[in-house]
Amino acid sequence: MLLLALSDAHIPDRATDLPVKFKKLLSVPDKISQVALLGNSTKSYDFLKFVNQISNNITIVRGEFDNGHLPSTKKDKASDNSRPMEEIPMNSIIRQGALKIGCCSGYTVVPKNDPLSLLALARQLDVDILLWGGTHNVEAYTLEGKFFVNPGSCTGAFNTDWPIVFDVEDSDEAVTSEVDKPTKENQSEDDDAKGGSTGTEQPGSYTPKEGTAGERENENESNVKPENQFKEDEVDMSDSDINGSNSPSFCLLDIQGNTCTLYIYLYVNGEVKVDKVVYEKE
Amino acid sequence: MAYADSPENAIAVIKQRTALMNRCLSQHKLMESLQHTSIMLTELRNPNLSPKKYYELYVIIFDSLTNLSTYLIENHPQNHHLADLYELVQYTGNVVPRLYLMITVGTSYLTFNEAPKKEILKDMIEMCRGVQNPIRGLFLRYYLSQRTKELLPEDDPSFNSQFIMNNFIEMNKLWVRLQHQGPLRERETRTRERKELQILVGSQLVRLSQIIDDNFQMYKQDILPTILEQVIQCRDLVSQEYLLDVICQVFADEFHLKTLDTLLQTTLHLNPDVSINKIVLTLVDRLNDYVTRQLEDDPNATSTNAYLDMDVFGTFWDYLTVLNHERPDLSLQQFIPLVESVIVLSLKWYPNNFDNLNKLFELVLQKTKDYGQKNISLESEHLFLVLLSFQNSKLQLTSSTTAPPNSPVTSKKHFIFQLISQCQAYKNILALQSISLQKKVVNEIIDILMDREVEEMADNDSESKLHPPGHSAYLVIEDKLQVQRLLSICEPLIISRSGPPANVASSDTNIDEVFFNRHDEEESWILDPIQEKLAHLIHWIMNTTSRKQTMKNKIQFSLEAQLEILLLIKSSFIKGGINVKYTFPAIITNFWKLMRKCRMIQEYLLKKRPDNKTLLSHYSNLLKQMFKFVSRCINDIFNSCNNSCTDLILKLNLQCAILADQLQLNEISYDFFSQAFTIFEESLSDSKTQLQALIYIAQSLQKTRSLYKEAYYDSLIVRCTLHGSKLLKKQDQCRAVYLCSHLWWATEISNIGEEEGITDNFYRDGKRVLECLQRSLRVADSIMDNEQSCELMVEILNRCLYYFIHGDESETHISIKYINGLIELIKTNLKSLKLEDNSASMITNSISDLHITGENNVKTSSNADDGSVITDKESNVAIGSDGTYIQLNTLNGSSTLIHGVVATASGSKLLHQLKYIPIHHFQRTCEYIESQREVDDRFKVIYV
Amino acid sequence: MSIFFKPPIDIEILFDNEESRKHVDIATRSSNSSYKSMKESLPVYEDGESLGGIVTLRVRDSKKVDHLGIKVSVIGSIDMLKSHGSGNSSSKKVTSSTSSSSSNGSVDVRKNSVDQFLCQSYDLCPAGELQHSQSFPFLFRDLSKRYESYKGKNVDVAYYVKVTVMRKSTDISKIKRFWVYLYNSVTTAPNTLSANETKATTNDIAGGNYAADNASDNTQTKSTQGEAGDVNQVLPISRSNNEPKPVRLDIGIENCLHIEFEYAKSQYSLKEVIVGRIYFLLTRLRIKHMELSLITRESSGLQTSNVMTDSTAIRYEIMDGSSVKGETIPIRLFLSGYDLTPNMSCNYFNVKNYLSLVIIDEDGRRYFKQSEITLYRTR
Repeated sequence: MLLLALSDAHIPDRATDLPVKFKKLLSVPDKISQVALLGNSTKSYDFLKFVNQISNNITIVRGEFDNGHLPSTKKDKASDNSRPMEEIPMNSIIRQGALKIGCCSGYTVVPKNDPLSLLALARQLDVDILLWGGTHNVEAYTLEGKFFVNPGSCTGAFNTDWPIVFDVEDSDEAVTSEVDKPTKENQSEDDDAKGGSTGTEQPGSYTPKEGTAGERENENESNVKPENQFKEDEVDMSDSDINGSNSPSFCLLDIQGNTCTLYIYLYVNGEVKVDKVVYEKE
Repeated sequence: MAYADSPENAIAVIKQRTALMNRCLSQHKLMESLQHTSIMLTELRNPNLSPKKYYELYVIIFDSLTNLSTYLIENHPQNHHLADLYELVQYTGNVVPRLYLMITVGTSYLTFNEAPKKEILKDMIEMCRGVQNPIRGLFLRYYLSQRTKELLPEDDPSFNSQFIMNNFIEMNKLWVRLQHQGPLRERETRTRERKELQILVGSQLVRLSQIIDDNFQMYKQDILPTILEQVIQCRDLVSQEYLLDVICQVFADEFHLKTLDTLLQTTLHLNPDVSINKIVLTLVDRLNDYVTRQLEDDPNATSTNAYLDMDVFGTFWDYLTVLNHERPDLSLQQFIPLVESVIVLSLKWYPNNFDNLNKLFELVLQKTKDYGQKNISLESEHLFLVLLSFQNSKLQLTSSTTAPPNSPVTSKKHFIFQLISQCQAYKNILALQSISLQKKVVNEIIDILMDREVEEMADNDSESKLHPPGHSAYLVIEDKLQVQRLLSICEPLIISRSGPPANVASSDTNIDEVFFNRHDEEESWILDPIQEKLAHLIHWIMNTTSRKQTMKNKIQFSLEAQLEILLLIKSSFIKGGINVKYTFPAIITNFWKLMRKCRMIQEYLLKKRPDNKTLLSHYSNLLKQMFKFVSRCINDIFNSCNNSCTDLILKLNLQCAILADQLQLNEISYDFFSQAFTIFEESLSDSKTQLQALIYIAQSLQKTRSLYKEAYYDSLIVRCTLHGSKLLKKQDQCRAVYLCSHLWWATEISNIGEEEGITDNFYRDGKRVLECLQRSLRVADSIMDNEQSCELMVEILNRCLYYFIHGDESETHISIKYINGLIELIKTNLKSLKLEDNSASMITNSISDLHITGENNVKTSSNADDGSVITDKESNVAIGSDGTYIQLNTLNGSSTLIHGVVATASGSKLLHQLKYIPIHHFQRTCEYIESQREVDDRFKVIYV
Repeated sequence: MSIFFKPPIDIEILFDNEESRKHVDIATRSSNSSYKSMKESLPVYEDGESLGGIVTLRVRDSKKVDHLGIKVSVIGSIDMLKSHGSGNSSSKKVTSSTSSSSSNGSVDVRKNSVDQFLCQSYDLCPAGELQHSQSFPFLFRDLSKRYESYKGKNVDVAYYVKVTVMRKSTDISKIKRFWVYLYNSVTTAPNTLSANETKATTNDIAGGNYAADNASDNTQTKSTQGEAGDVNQVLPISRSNNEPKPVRLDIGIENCLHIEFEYAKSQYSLKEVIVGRIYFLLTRLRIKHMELSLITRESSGLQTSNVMTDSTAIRYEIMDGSSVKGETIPIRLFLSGYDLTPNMSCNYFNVKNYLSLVIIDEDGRRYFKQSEITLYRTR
């Protein structure tokens, strides 16, 4: 039995879609029997449609940016007008084989992401496996005989948690790493470096400029102020740093009896990496 | 002479006569043979044959006559003289057989040089006039054309072309005349028959094109004017459409290029029902072929080649202008495809000239206005849709990005983007359309622009160097103006209302096939695919502008420029009114991203140029400004959506507070927190929402680090706890307060290098923690509902254990004594819970034995009513972190919530189970304590 | 009859160089219809040509035959159908009509001679006895022949040589027919008719005269026109100008059809080609096809009892389908391939030729327009 854990899609607020490679991986009908959405994944029609195609057995828990109630289709509404709107619960429990799986979005766990707090929650819910989200970082560990899984964000959406990158990178290191990378970026940086020596922006007196790059270049040349030479693209800012160092990821749980094999899918540099962890209930 | 009564018999007769003819020929009995031939040919007089059947007969007869002709040629002049025979066959009494024979003999004679070729040819074609019946005449003349194909005098192309043209003209007349034969009700049959016969007429033009070869002078001076005159004069719809098409197809495209004026002028004089656009499109196709060929010959010829000297577009443009002037009756259905054709042309010839397109769109605009925009019918709506979203298949726009550089084949998304940013008229036409159409079009356009799959593929490709460097698959946004134009195009979508759904449904089935509950309650949310798409568009624009550009397109937006674009987007999307709740979160996210970027730049500057104060303060100002913008955005949502999304606003404020805190902007952070509290106090009414919002505030505060200064933190956490203690429901108060205890107990944030046991400046105050827990316990104790009360106590016990593990008694103030006391209290309460329910169930045993012994304590609770067996450990009900009951559904393995009073039969059973929740929870907690004894000696003194 | 009374002498007449002479085939008109198709080949002579030959008399079974003299005569006569007996009741009984001995010299028995315009004879041999077969040459020098041979419906112009062995009992005679062509030496034909013809017939077709035109054969129509006997001249040589003027006819049915047709001229030699064209000014008629016919009209008898017979010598389709306004249809008809009769005229009969344009519409109605042309024989 395969259970798919997705979390923190944040579509469309913070991200547009899953990586195409993820979508291709997941677009296999009748393989996955249940999907758990661990928060912040209910605002996109397309996304929900996509998830629905994977399996129509979906468990949703509420993330901080989800609303209290599930959106439902018009057909449902027509067929049963009296039915109250389905509430999105804070927690949910799934029983598979000999295992009970709890689901929760991380935002009601205080302190956030704290293993002991999560353990207390797992105890309260009486579950063997606890799926949680909210951090956008994929995680899996065993504590006190219980298995804790955070599938991260399936879109690699922007995250407001403390980012890791705020240590200022060492300049020497930056230079060497640039030399090592024969990428397109590198070329452009070389080029920009040249441009930077002749004419640069002057942020202090920056006015919005329209027109082609050439014009701007000329304009800049006439305004050279050497002491203020600075071009923003000297700074190496990757999308992942800006978003909070998270890569798109999701988890697939293969549950057989009291054993759960966890597959972690991570999207790094355009490639999908898969890790495997096995948990067995004592 | 009579003909056979059925086509089958006719074929039989023809075959029989052919055999007889051949036998006589072999015996050199020419006269008899001609007699048979004549009888055979009589079958071609049959007026009752459909064109198809007639053609079948014709084909067989053609072969027979070929035999005859061969014989005639071989035996001239030994056994006969063809000149004599030419006269002889003219005694045939019926005109059709006579002429077939004449042509057969005459063309046989033409193979000999001695023959007076021109006289014979002239005579034959003249005599063909005797057959005025359209079908028979057409075939006869086709026969003449086929027979004379190789036999025209070689040295006189002018004569030959005259000969063929003469034949063509007569054939066309006959063909046109066919339309008017027979009763009126058979008109459609006639038209169908004519289409079956068109190839006979068209073949003459093909012959002409072969004769002319590359003699342009002759084409221009003699042939084309004659043909076109004929086309115009016949005033026949089918004929004009077909012939002009054939003309465009068969003659060299260079000829067309040089006679473009004439050709286009001709279309002005056609039957008003002729669909000019088809003809023009064919012409455009041919001209485009020409360009393609030129490019193939010399790929670098784009700019230098002579053909570009011609103002092809100008010619078409003049034509369109005149057409529009002279034919005001042309409907939009006719006019738009015409313009589309010219667009196709312009794209091919002048791929980068958007002025042309602008002109064309302006023309359509004018036409539409003249036509009366109110009268745009459904059909023309479709036309506009095709026009405006460039769905015309003839447009050589590829979605593929593998096109070679300099190729005139433009990527559709690049093209559309350029168009939007350069063609004002395009926008104006769009604005004339109905709202639903505008939405459709814009929707299409956005889809094309954001064709993400292509981009991602391109990403992968670029790694394998499939793309030449400098040719980006990405769109390049060059300036703010482009963004502005794009946004103004999108306006119909921005301001569109999602509800009531039925409204949208009728026009936009594609998008709105599924609808969603719409409740004006506080937390209602309708999924709106259109607004979702717009949110994507925001991300797309921002990603595009922030992307590192490639070498060739060296356009880099500075942070400030990006900010400006974002503000532009914001000011555009604010028009959406209530829709901002869909789109503004995306805008806010992009602000946040810019903030992080700004911070990175600051860090960099601090590292590399710590002394450049100007730069530093510039970015620091920028950062603060951005927070103001975000705050503004949040307020905009608040103002636009009334109270419908206060929860969202609260959380956005919190996120901002978190970010500000991370950026050490403590004042700003404090302000956002305050804002969050204000909203909590003033606008959040639903108790459930209040609880989770408060917990979230607590969680957020717990992770802050910059607020310790100025006692901001202190005031905020007190306020938070206070709110917790004032929640409506006691159980909510209890949970909120015990969770708030964490606010006085900071824990490590490893991302910023904190580590438990090493970092020594955590904000911790054990006394306060204990106070919170005590307060929470008091509330729990005061709850009347025993089960709830017990459950909360167990939860508090767990909280105590958390702190117990986390630190020494002296710091946390959570002592063994306290914990043991709590355990005792719980046990007592659980006992009373048991007593309370004594009569209804037989679980007394299990409760009396509630101490944890580690033995197998699976006990059966035999329910007297239904005898179902519930094991103690396998309860199907649990209580969630917010106090809701969760029932484990055995059917599909997932859980459902239990709401309010459980009234159903199965519910009473559930009700029965509820008391096990605290019992089992307590059991589990006890088990945990016991297990911890192995790793932590302190646990040994906790008695369970 | 002849079986029982076989004449004791066989008479054979042979013309000089007969085998090598030009012959024409003349259909014999027998009363027995089954022999209709039989043809008789006759040598052709022209006006003024001498006619000579040899008469051979063979005695049967070597018996002597007494005779009162042997006479040879050449006779040209106009014969007419008995039933339409001409006013000339005093016509001589043709002796040959009772002669039963000839095998190939038969004359239409139904017709009686009304005028023997040529009769020359002389004796080959005085009375005597024929003991054995004997030949006698004969010659009519520079024999003038007034009329061309003709074999028509009601009228024949016949020429023959007759040899008579006169006896006390019945004479024994034998005739041999020959054919006479009169050639017109003038190359251009006169144009006497076209002018007034055009005027008179312009609107003939008008008025929807679609009376069945099956007059082509065997239909006799009384004509009020009295033409017979006026012209004593067989040869239609014009005395007027030599220029061939085209014949133009403008005909039509009001608001329905309006055509203009044109022949190059109105007089044709029998070897010529009729060339012309038809121009359509208006066609609302749905024409199925259009034919050109050449009709030979024989009228015989004197004014009061004129008998006219038309026979269609040529039917020639010139257009298939319906033309439209502005179209021109070519006409070309070769005459030489047909056996046509040139125009002739004498007191007893005349032969005229007409070109008839026949339009058959899709409902089978026929519209026609005739115009006279003159045919003449040239060498």
